[in-house]
Amino acid sequence: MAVTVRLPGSLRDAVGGDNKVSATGGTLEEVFADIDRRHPGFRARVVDERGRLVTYVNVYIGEDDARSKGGLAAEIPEGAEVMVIPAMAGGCR
Amino acid sequence: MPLTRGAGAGALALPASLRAEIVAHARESAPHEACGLVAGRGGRATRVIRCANVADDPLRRYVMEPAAVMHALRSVQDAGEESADGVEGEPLAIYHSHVYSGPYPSPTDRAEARWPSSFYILVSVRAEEPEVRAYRIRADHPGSEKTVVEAELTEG
Repeated sequence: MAVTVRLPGSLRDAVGGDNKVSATGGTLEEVFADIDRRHPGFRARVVDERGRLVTYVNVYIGEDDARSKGGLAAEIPEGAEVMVIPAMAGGCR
Repeated sequence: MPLTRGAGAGALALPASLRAEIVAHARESAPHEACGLVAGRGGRATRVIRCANVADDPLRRYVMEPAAVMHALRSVQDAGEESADGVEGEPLAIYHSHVYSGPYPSPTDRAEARWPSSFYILVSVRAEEPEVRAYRIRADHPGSEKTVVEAELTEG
């Protein structure tokens, strides 16, 4: 199943410079694996060594936060758009 | 922290009304830090999108509410707006306030900057007269340490 994945901000350079890629997969894990095959190193930017989404990215599948849908096991419904969004954060120190 | 001006940082045109909107947001939120996005095209800001600060310690940190960021980015995509580098679907700028310090990116701001194509606007409301400045915060090469370069800020 083909999905559109948006990878804005600092993630753009992990996939060759475009902030929108096409990928296939029925779960978030499969979609990330598909992108990683074409852009080696991508998965390591968004998944930690324990197999969880890194804390500084938020992933939306349509309107749903992937973390509330099982994280990497989250299913991707037909036609959904996936957004992988680097956090917008900072502090005064 | 080394702060250089100019070279390659570009210029951000921020109309007075939008600057006033950001300052108002910062004042209303104090003592918490305020944050949000600025959308635009061709280096010129056209609208301010406020986002809630959901940091555990909003007196010293900002973390934009993820769902609000997602919706803001969708609206930026739909409008065909562009980042500072002309990347479609990304914010022209990301702003946040400093309540007790000046409008300069802190070590935390630099470490957590993950939007290399956008300007970072810092607004300080520590004094009666607000101070607003804009920067680019990015690594020159993938993996290298990020540098902070102040950008020219005009009223457009």
